Amino acid sequence: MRYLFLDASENTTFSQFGDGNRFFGHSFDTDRNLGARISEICDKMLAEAGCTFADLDLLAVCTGPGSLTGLRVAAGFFRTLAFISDKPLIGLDIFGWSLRTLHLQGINGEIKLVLPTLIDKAFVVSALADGDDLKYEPAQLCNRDEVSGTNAFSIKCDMPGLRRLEPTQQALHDFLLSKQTQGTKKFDDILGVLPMYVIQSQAERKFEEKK
Amino acid sequence: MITLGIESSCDDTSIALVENGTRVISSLVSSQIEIHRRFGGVVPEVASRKHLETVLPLLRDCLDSSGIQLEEIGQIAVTSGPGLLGPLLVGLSTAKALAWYTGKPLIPVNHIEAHLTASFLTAGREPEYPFLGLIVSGGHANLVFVEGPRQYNCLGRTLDDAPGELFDKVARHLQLGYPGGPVIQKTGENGDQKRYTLPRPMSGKGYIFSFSGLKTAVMRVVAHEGDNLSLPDLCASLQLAVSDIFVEKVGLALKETKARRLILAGGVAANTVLRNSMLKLAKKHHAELLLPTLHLCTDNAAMIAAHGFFTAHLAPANSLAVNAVANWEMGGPYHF
Repeated sequence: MRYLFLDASENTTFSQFGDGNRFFGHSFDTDRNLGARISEICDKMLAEAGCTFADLDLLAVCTGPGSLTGLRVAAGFFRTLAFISDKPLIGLDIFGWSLRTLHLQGINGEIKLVLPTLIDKAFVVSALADGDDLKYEPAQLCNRDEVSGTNAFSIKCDMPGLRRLEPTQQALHDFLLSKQTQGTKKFDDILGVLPMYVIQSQAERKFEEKK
Repeated sequence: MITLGIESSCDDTSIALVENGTRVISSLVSSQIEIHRRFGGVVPEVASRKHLETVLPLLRDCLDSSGIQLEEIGQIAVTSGPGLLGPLLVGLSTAKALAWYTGKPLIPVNHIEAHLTASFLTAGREPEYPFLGLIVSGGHANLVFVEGPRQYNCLGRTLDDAPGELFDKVARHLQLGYPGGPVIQKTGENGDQKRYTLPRPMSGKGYIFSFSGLKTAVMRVVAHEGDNLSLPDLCASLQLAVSDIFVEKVGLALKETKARRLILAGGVAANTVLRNSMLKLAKKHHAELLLPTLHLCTDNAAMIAAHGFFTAHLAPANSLAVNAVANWEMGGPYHF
């Protein structure tokens, strides 16, 4: 089982390759340039893995939240690959990845995950982690200072009163190799792999306000 | 050779298959006009979102309806600019995945250049040089002398608004709807073109265009006429003013360049008043006029595929590293 994962939710693009014996990940400085470099990144990852695209069994792409442009470039690239190559595709959001990281660290129970947005708000997810069973509700857009508590974590950043959490490569690897993880080859499901938690544009907000 | 074209520079997602740059096998366009109408213009963020949702189903439909297999496609041409960056990147990432997976060449295409090729595609002919090109759309008013593939001598362009933008803004002001070009043409169908005297900005000043003053003049007429305003007459007068501006500048260019072929391109090339004026002008100067079909006037991937076919030899070898560029100049270098 070989997979290739791409996370373009930030200015730095992260890619990870893994199979039954190993995994490795790299960050690429693609600030505003992922559109130009996406195939080069895939080439580099596959070259280091010593395999070709044909050898892959699973494509995985991060669906956010994060930079919408980056997420769209990655999703557009991977969705098309899945469609034409008939390889399964899976979308993974950062909350799911973070919960699996906490699970590996033995942190269970009621958990809150916080991810700041650019508009002075934060996505907040309430989750219940019970052993292998990870359940979480869709993210809510809240004020940044509304969340606190012992099991509240800020993802990839420092926030007052919250514990910082970095989603790990090991957690990603375990998830993508787990038997429960199945990508989709069905066209309609491939179409469902889209950036999540889209914030309305200014024009849409104004339109809603007028209504 | 079959070229697959992908277009997503603004609010139309399009996929097409074109054989040898001259025969359209299949051309599908998914328009977002209904989505953007409520905002009175294209919202880039919304457009990007819709392009991503639409591009793959359109690709599948294009392949299925044409019966063409991916293996039969010789190259992939994609709009890399100019346009809205978010929408451009959706098309580019789709094209790159296709090219990367299949190993077929990727041809980055300048959207405005491709509009000129649309007229040759309509005629089922290869581009013949030199020619004079007038590109008129929602974002452009460019008069160019074309000497060869990707060789453009820009004679003039607009200092401010483009004609399509002018029509959109006037239509919004008159509450006629969106997009402005078609509604202004329809409203003005039986209007009196000479009822309202509107200026011809930059008349006698070479090849420079300006349309913002015309917009202001229309708004003054609206304010002055009040309840007596005749919308059909105003729309007819506006179209005549726009057409007169182009007749003067293009006429001058035909005389100075001695071009024997004139190409009208872009979304505003669908305007009947402008098309008829250009027909008369070309006849007067003994020049051949090539007009795109109405389907090929607006943004479409068929013209991208055709232009990609005829400029493939100029594309960089490492075209998979090309990036989308919001303001890519006609004939300008490829951006990485």
